[in-house]
Amino acid sequence: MTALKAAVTQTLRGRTVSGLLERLGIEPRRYWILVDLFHTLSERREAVQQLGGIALLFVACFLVVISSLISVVMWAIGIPAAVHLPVFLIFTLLILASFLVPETANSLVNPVEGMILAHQPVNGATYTSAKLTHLLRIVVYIVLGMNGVPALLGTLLDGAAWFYAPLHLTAAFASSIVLALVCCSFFGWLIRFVPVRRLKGIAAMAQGLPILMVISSGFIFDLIRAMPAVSDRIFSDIVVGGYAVPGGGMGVLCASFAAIALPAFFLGLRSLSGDYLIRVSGMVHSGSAAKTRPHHSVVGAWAARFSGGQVGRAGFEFVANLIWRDWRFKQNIAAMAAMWIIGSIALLVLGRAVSPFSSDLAPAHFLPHLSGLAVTSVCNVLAFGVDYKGVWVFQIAPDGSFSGFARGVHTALLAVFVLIPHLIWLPMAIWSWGAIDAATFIAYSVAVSTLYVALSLRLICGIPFGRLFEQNRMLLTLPLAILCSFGALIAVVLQYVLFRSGVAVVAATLLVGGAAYYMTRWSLTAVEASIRYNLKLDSLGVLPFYQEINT
Amino acid sequence: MDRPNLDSNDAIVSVDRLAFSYGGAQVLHEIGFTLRKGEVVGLLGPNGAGKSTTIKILTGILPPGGGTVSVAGFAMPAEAAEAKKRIGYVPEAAGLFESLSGQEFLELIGRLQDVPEDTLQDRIRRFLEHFDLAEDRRRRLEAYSKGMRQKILLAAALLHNPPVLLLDEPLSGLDVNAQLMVRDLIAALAREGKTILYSSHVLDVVERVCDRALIINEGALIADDTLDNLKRSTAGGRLEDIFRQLTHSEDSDQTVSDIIEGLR
Repeated sequence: MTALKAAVTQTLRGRTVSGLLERLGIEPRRYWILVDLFHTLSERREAVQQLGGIALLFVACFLVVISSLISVVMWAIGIPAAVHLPVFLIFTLLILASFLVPETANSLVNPVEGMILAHQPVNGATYTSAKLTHLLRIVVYIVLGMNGVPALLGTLLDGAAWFYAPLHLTAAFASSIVLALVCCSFFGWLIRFVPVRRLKGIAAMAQGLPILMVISSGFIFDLIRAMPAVSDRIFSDIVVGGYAVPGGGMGVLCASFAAIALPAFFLGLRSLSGDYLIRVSGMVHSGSAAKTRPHHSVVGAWAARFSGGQVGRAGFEFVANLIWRDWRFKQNIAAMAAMWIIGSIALLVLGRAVSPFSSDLAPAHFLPHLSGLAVTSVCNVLAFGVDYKGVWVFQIAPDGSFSGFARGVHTALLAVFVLIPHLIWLPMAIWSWGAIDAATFIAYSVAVSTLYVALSLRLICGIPFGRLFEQNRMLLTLPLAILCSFGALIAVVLQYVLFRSGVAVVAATLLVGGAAYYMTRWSLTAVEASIRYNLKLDSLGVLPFYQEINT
Repeated sequence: MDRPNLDSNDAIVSVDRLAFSYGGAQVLHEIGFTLRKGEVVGLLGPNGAGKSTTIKILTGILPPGGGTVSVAGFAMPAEAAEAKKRIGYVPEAAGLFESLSGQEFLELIGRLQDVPEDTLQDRIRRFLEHFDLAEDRRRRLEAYSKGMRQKILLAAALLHNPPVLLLDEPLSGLDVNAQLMVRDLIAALAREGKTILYSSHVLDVVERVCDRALIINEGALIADDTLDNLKRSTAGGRLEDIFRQLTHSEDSDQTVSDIIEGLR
């Protein structure tokens, strides 16, 4: 195995490949130095925000299990090979997109790496190609994890040719590599045309794209289905004045699309060469053009009163400001934020005609739980931020201040994820269902969302934005979201029964509100303990545990 | 690409009408200067004057917003890759690959700069020994103190024996012995014919090390002369007085009493 690996390495780094690389404007020697560097950094968890090492292996193993199960089920129910292959291709592309978009953003829009290497004699093409090689590793792991077993099992399906397995794998790899290149091309366009000071924010927001793709997939499929008829009509009726177009309008439309998409694709990839490193490292030097407003706001004063004075205000202002500014945090929650905002709008628009008190299942019943899921995701990654080194200021804060600070953090979460959205929804709800139904539902929704906030506080592992990001934490997000969604579905069913009686809803609101109050108090103690633990302050003082033994 | 033939009077760094802006803020207003072979030139100015921006443009990290810049005969940014092979740069605030050891980091930089392996290993050994880092060579950089990191950055800047050294606060974090050693090293490098641009806020070090000073204030070059000429032009005769006079610094007594008043 070692001999084989050595032979492959020698071939890859040999004269033929080097010649090819040189023809592409890549310096072979520096390319391999950088490939080795990125591999070492990934193995040593330097690039913790990137998928590599054990985390990548874990994802691949998880996909092997899931894809094997799906494939066995498909074989058991007699799905033909002609359906098996496209189903796995679609699954692979969706899963790959959800990993590749953030990974490409982390790899290509990495100002710290840019800053270290920008003054070295490394051209953009060499640096970028070394980065793409890193992305290719992810493609290989995910494609093999998702398609290895199904390609083999597929040979047992009805209508499968003897060459089904290599065909399946070739199709999966080819489409995945195209997807990876499209991702790179997209970020190439961003790096080229988005002003440097906005690059971090836009790259973070772009990570919501896979979720948007999934949400809008129904609409896209409808559009594709309708396209032949529409394009025929456009080309026959409008463009050529009623004459028939040979081959139909669809062919012309596809050709036009290709004529625009292909140059865009190649130009995007080309943007990653040249002064790419300079532009990325420029993100560190440029800072933000955004001006901050003076903070003598009424909201800040109100937060100070609600959360226990100036310390509480510090916690409130800290979180309320950084959730909009920390690009690492925005990157982590981009997908969930897109789902929350689009989902809320969709639920309110779709559920306009159906009051939560009607006998039909109103879409609005999902609203408090959608907010709850959003706040759970936020709390799961709230402790991670780009300026985590600034956490030292909390280590020299007075010992008793963390309780008030935790209350301020809670107030900020409550304001951003519960109070403000519900204040926006209230007039829409009154307009749709009438004042009493709307007020009762919104009060209930506030109580439920507050309970979610109270429970989610326990996921905050330290000072908000005060820790270096851990990829493993993101791996927890999926199981956590599945668990919460399951709980939310049960709650929606109970709600549907509960909303038959207004009195029951009022009683439930009071009950849930009371539970939220006590749960918040309990969770705030946990947040304070977590902050102290993560700042390693417990080791400086006397722990309650030791006090008990001493006394 | 061969290095251009430069005799001792040739400008090895040439900056003409250099302008730069971050967003809407103009940071450099068409400044111009030249650095000759073997010169040690101090770059002075208050915080935010544009010193680090100037150095970053010279290293090719930032593209000039206007004007022309050439280093070792190569125009920036068009020929930046060639110019970068001839520049050693110590940044003011540097990121490092924390999970690499000191030895590995220097090997990485040396190999990127195409230093032959035998020469590279010999230079790394010498630098680490003389910077008292030999015993820590296998430790990861995350475990290094600020001073140790600064020594690694200095070593990384010198590994490929560049003709131009751009030093942005190079003594920051160094202990007294290391500071004295670096000061002597700068003088020795100048004797070897290296061109050094030395940016610092520590005026007495600049006074000891540099032949000439450039003073930047609010993005404009307000002085470019030898230290002797600059001293002769002011009443105090010290670099501190020149700096205050040219940058119109506030009376520090008044500032101090105002701060103390605010604390009462």
